[in-house]
Amino acid sequence: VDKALLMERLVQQDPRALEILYDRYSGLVYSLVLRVVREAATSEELVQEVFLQVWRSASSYQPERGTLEAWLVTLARSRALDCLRAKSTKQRLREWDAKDIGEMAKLDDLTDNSLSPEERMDQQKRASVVRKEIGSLPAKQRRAIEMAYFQGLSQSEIASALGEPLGTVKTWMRSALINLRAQLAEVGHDM
Amino acid sequence: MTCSHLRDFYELYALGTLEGPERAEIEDHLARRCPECLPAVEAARQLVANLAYLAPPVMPSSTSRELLLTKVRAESRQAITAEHETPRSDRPSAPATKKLVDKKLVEMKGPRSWSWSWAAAVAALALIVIGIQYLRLRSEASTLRDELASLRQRFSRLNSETATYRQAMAIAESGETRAITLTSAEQSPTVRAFWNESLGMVIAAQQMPLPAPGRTFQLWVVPKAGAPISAGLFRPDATGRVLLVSSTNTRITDAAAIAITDEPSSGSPGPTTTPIWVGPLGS
Repeated sequence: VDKALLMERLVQQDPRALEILYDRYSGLVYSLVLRVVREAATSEELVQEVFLQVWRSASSYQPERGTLEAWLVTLARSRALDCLRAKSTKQRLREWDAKDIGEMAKLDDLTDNSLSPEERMDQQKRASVVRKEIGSLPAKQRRAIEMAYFQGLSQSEIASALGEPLGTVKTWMRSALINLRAQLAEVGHDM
Repeated sequence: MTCSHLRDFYELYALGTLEGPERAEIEDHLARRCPECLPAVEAARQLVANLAYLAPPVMPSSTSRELLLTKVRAESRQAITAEHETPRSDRPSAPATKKLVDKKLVEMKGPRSWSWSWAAAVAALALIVIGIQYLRLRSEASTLRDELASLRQRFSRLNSETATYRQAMAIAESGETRAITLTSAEQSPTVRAFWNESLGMVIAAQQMPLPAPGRTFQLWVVPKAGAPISAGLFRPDATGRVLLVSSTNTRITDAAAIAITDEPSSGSPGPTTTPIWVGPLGS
């Protein structure tokens, strides 16, 4: 099912369309939310909320403003950062029932088989460019990008945490993103 | 500021890190639907969304999928029902409906062979039967509601446990995870820790002794400089097993050790007893 048709079916409130959307993107959305929130149960709840929000507000999606995937990711990041900010005033750690770690190996296979081969290749290519480009940055520059994206810190908070001048941090982040844009464009894989 | 002044800030704005007058200016241009800034910021948002791929890939549980789809299907059914209940223009008008009902009533009345007293007795009996049925159904519905609430609670707990196991597995399996062994001079079981800066920390142990009533174990990250930082409270289960998934913002390279102390049940802001288990991180 192509993305335009998928969106059309979502606007018509066809539950099957949401199922397909979930199977395609829940891995990416969950990975992002878990990286931000760092708590599995909360992350799963947030992922459900993100997809429910998409379901309920599908008609507000404007394809000319960006891809479906970018819309989902942006919604997910925003919710996860809100949750992270709220958590700072709450108990951040949880007590879990104890279980044998060996039992965990019996859980379902984590492989995502819902994407078509072309879509999967496209996702993998983009993921590879992003990881390579950001991964090849000097440690502090990479850290600055991660603090901004996954922790939602402002540039002055990042500058202070890294002990670097504000102007330097701004330049690092901007040039990293511009280089990333160039690399993605080069391989023809913008999100 | 003109759009050309703002060009350097689109990416930082989309990343959410931009502050001060530049941020206010961009927001002002966006509010005015500036034909240069609006598409440029949208393109920057699109670019920034790619950073999601930096997160280590993990899949959510299948129970999470089922919960979501159950909610969505229920909403979809409700929407369809509401649509059917809405009056539509092609349905008969009120006077026309009344005529139809009146006609039907006349047809149903038929010959007056029953006496009024018989009819009243039958009606009273029917009311009693309906009343009894209603009370029985209400009681059954209440029981079913209780059962449903209990099942929902159980499902939610299982879902949460599964999510924890998945997170623990993702941490344990990641190539970037550091395994640390915590040993004790006083207690026999060894505690294993798996620390991944992106995904969190797992503490796993078996046959661990239970802390005394009103006490708990507390996990600490001991930085190379500064006071120990709490990383969570836990109690082993009845068989002495422990699986704690915790998070800490401390970087592994900034930590000297992780340690476990015995503390009051609500935990302590700093260790109040000598650590029982300690796992040095080495160089």
